[in-house]
Amino acid sequence: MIQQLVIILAIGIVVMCSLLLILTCYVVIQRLINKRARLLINNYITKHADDWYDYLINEIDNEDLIKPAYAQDFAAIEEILGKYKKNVTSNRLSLRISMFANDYMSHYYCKRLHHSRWSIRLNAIYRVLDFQIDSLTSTVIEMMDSGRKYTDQEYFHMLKIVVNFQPEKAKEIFMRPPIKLGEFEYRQLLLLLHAETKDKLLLLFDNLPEPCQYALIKVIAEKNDRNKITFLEELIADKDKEMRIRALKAISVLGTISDVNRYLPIMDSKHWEERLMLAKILNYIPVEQSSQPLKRLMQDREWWVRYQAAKSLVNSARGKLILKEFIKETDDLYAKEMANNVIQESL
Amino acid sequence: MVNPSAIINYILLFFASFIFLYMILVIVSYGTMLLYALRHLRKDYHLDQEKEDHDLVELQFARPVSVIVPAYNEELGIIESIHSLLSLKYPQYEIIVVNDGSTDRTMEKLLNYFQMEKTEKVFKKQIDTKPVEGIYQSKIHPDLLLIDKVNGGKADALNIGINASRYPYICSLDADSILENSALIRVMKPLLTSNGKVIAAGGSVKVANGNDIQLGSLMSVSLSDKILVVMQVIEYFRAFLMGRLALSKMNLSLIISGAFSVFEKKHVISVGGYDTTAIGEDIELVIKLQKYVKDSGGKQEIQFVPTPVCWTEAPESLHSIRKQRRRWHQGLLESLWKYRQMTFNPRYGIIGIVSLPYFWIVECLGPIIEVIGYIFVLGSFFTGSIYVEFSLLLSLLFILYGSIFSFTSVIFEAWNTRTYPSIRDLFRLILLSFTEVFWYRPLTLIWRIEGIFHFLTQKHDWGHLERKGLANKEGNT
Repeated sequence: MIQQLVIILAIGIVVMCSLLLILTCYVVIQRLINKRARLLINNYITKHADDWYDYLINEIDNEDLIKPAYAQDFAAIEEILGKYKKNVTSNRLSLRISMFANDYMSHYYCKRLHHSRWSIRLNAIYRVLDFQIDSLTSTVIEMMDSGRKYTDQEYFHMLKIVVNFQPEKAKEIFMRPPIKLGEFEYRQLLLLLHAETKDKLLLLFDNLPEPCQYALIKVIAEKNDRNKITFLEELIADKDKEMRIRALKAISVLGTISDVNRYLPIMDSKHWEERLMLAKILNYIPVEQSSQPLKRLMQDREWWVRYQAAKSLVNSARGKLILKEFIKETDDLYAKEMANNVIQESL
Repeated sequence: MVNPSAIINYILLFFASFIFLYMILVIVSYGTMLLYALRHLRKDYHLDQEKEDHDLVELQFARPVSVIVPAYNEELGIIESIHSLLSLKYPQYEIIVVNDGSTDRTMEKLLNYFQMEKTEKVFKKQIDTKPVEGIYQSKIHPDLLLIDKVNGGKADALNIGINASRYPYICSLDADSILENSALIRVMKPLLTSNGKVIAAGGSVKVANGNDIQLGSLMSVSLSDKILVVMQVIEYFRAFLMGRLALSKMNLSLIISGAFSVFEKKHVISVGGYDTTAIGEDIELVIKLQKYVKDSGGKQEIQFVPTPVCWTEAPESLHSIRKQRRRWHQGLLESLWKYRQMTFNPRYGIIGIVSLPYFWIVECLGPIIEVIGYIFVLGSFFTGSIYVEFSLLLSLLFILYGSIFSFTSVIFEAWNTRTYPSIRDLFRLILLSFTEVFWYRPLTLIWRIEGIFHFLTQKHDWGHLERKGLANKEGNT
């Protein structure tokens, strides 16, 4: 019995070693092939660098010189377009890239969109959006409707293509997404939308899924959209604590408010995060109005609120004086120490 | 009357059968993890990772991170390490170097090289630590801070860094390591994109010795000339393919490298930060976080991310490797013991039922069983006992488990990740992987057993490893 096991194991080891040696040969050959392919790609890039500059920057219509002729040309062109896209921000350049990609690369990407390998399909989906190949939108929609099983990651990036090229479908996608979307995904989709489409979504705010609502608030702050301040101020009285904190945070980023009195009740909030945001927002209003509430927040039971209140005061010369007076007057040792530290830190 | 030789034979048979079954269990576990890892790596093989990094950075999805670098007597590597951090592709981050009472020129080098001057900084003491002696800020890189503190160990230094950090995520990085410039965004990706589901992640750590590193930048990758270093390279490949990747994908991670990992700060604070009494503070924190997640009814995960690469200096002498392995094993055992109530406890789900028992049986107690196996094999061959056939069987299993698995790791790594582009380096790795079972593996087993003894005798060896520095001689400052 043991003897048989020894023989089986020895044969197994020999077979494994042989397979591994074959794999070693494969890896070595593959490296040589990759080296050769890289050389061809580099040759194309070197040969056509000036032609591409003429096409994309000088807007000379020299497509005949640069259009892909061999398989590796596609990879080389993808690299060139990717680099221009990454390093130059210009609508004209994006348009030229889109024109070329639609005319000469769409067939290549269409084939890759249907590739059996997940990573190649996903790369192709990325390129459709990167190079604005709108002629492939219908292919992408067909893929989504085909019933074939795609990963959530693929599906999400396909949704980005649809939202980007067919914004009229955005409302439906945001309200009833075909896959589960989190705040991170909604935020990416929202960043693809034009202001008008976003405004329309804002009208439907209450009907949107919660992660989408949070993402929308974040995007308003990121885009520095101060016209939405009234909308945000309505949310600071929302019954959901998370919504209130997020709205306050967005307001603190925008740095503008309509009426300070609307905010003062937050001083008595039982949630320190709200009081912290209030201390941040008070930084943006004249010190005459903010000094009293900030002095009160200096004595808050939460360290972060005291710290932020002191920081908001110390930002202006007048505030610094108020802080120094406060140090003399107060009996609160914690507040006194914090005020002293923040003044030292600001020096 | 019972024949004594028959009793001895029965005992030997029992041991031999036990070792045989154990080896089968280990080989099946490692083999399964290898296949799992390979499937995952092949899936990502052609994926354009740079495009994904770029999107996260450019579209401001990356939330700010505080990178904490604890340093104790790191004068040889610290400048390179900070240089690599200063060139990270990440939109907003601060670097907090914590000098843990170094007795060499670490402090002086940092102060002079980065033109640091004393500053006042207010921070909340959220975790109790040893006193701070001074805080310094670089005049040339305002986001680089240096905290000088009384010596209290790596965990204490990390805790001070957490207290002083401004941002919601922390990254811990060893001072003898450098990061590739895309490493931070890649290791942060699961935390940024998972909508709170991932609370910590660790990157892939590779051996830096032999590479051309200048001013913290990796100029080219090549294999070290030193055999001991190459053996460690093979070990890292094995650990990556037959452990971390598969365990992480099954949400079974108990170890993410202490050399390079990121955490959502609020959770680390909730569990009281790093344990200053633990030898393996990194593994202790991960198990503690897993416990905290399950105790609070959460479903958050800890992930290992294979693509972000941290290059670290591997010890080059037998003495240093021995010290390192002994400490690692002692640290692992200590943490497993500390959280022993989680083992086989269904309350902790798959971590309690699968992961912890795996670490106890395969990783922790494995060295004892393997060494007994080696002794059995040698004893049988030399004494010519009746178990020569059994010894042959065990020997083949050792060869399969040691050398063949190492060879497989080397070749699969070369196929998918291609760390070492030179074909000469590939062949050196293959050749040396074959020798592993005959000398390097037994040595590591003995060192790990020493770790078990140190654990049992409660011997705390805080030994600091001898450093040579990562930079080329001409690039070193």
